Amino acid sequence: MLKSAVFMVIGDQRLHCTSCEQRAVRILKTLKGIEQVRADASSQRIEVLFDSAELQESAIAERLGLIGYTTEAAIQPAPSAAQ
Amino acid sequence: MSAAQTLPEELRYWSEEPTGRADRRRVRARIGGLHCSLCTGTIEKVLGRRPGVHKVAVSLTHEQALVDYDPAIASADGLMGTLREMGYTLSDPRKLRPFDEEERALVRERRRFLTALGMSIAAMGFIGYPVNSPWFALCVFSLASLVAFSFVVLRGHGLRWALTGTATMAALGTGIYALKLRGAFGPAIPWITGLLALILIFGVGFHIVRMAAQALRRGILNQHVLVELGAFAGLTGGFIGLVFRPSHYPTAAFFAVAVMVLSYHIFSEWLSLIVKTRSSQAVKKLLDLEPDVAHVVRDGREQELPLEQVRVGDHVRIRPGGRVPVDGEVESGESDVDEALVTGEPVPVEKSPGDKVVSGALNGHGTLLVRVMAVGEDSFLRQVVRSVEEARALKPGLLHLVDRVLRVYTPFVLLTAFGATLFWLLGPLALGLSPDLGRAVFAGLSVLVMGYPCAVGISAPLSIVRGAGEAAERGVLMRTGEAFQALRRVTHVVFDKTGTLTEGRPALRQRVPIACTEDELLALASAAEAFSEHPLARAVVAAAFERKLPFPEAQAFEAVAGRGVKARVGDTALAVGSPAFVAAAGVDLSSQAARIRELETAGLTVIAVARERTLLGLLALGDALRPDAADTVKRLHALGMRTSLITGDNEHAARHFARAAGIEQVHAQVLPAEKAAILRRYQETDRVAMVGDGINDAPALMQADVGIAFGTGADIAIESADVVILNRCLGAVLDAYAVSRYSYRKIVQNITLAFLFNGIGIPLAATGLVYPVWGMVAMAASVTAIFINSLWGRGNYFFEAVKGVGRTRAAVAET
Repeated sequence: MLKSAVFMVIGDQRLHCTSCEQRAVRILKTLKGIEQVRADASSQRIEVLFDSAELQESAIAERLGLIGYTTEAAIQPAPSAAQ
Repeated sequence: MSAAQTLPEELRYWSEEPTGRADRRRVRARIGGLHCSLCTGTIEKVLGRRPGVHKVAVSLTHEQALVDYDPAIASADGLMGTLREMGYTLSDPRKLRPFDEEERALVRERRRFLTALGMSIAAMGFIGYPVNSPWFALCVFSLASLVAFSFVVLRGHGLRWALTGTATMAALGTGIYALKLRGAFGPAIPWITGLLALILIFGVGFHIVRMAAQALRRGILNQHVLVELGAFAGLTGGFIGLVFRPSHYPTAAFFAVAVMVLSYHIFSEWLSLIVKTRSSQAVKKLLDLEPDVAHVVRDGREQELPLEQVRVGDHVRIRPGGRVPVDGEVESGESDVDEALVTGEPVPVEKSPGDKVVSGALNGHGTLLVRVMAVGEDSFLRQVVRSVEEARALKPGLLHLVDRVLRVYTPFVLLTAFGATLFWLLGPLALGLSPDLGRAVFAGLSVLVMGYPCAVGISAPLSIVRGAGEAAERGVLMRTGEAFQALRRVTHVVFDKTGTLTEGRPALRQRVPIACTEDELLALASAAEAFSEHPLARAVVAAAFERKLPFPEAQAFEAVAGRGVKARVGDTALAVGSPAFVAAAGVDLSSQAARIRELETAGLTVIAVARERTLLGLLALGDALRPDAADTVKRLHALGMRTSLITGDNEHAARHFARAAGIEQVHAQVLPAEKAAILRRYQETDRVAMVGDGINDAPALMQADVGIAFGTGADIAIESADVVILNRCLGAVLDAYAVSRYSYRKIVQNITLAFLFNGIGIPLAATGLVYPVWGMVAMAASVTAIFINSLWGRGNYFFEAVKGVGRTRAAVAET
């Protein structure tokens, strides 16, 4: 099934600019099972929509680690829209 | 008739195709030995004169000839025999040239060039002027430029290699020059240079002599003829010197100039070959060259059979994700089938028993058993291939700029040489003096030697190396000469709709909330659809993600293939799916019936969302315009181009997208073959570029002056196109246009530079006062000038192109 996950960049290396954002998006899109990626330098968030049957969250974090980003899974805001 | 007719199919070197008429047959053959765009015209003329021949079309880019003839009057054997008599080689177009063979050819040509370059440097050393001569500096310059040349060619192999090789060449040149200045060779110099010239003309470069002879026999005056004129003039001049020993006669220089002219020519041949090979390899990399097989179920057993062995009435199994290999009717099974590349229908179509499937479509998530209704020539794919072949034959031809110039220039050189000879014979007579035979011959030969614009051979390929490099950086593959020379003149751009102007996959287009907010509607629908693999479901979830809507986790998921899904969120039950599916779940949709109909007539697919028995709202999905489509069209209009939309889809959808993108003209519900016909009508007044991606676009892509395909499109579309867009941006069309204009300007500049030196040299040579060594200096100068003009600041494009020569297929696969 499709899942969305949010990764917060916490290490020394940050998302600084648009090209950092694009680089993160590009490197994640090469993973099989990734549907969509959004990276935002202003909030240091990388949001990913992926197929949990093909891909684990840990694999996404690992891939981000390859290009130098240390991340932690963010607690998603409560699904308020659904209440 | 000859034996070839009785040969088994695989030994024949051409392929025959039906034309749909009993009194017509068509042969298609791959032609080797097409050296210039003038050849195509000659073949068309010669074969067209033969009785029984209806139509001849030759494509230089695809190296193919297509001949329609009446089998009662002419025979394929006879026609192909004529081609071979003209000096062309033939092979079956269906057989691809293996990769390794192509690379071997490139390595062979490189070795040939390096040999020739070494000989040129030696020759230049042998004929250098003494240190105290005013020409000494020029000689050193020429020598230096040749040595630099070797550095440029070897640079791609790493600095160490390049430096070693260059140092060797430099040592050779200066060594010989220094020894010559000390008089170490004495009277042997003319003999040594003569030997060099003989070896180069009849040994290393004999293939050029052969090609020139073939061209002459066909009545074509191309580069090969011109270069051999120069080389043989040099040779003749040298022999005259050896035999008659006139005083102050530049015997060695004549020989040396022959060596140098040929060296440059061999280089330009090699460069052209690199350009051609690389672009065809780049295209092949895009094609998924899977064999055409079908999983046929016969007598309860499933076997993998080549497509040719599948018969009408066979049952073929199609697995999830597989390509539909045949045209047929679904016997059992259900699946969503993506026909976007075949019919232009953007939303996958649900197929159940009784529905028809078309070859080339992509199966979704179910398994289908299909009863075959048409095979071979009657199948949809074969019909498209036939239209492509027809379009290829009718594609507007293009004479390359260089060939156009040479067609005028070569006779001019010959006439000038003849005129100069005549002048020095008759001029003195008119003044009552005895004719100056020596000067007459000298002037004639000098003109021929000066006549070959060495740099002209590299002017186009070098611009293309640079243009292709720049295009590649912008995600565009410029494949053919047409791409560079025709695209800049395009006045009308025709777009396909699905997958070209639009994304080609469904996306959320409209939200109709009824019992909740828009965001709630989408979030809840996503919660249920997250489990489904159906493309429409994925589009719903993606839309929620894009709007940053977190969707709640659902349980107890249950899907009915192609209809909808049920799931629970917390303790409420959700039903999401087609209106019929949701209605069947006990939800009353009657109040929205008119709304649903309205959305559906607009070409959208409607999904209803219900919680417990309450309808929460509707989601409408459809294809979406590419984000840069409107901007691209606007910029094309700003360039003064006209635009059209051509699609197999219905009028309503076509108009909707045309309006959204700002496109002027619309053709809807067009069959694949008709697309090419519409383009032909446009071509009566306009130069047309076609942008498309589907199987159904292939004939139009081939027909267009320039076909532009998406690299993600169907194989046949990519193969039919001149330009391939790799970065999935429609805006790349404009990049390709810009590169085409820029490259063409470079080609023109280069050709001007190339001829400039000859333009000065020929009149001087006609006076009979110029020594051949000046020609060599001029050549070195013009080649250097063109290198600088083409590659200034971007030398790496050239190094990259040269570096790849001789690599293995495994090495390519890694990149």
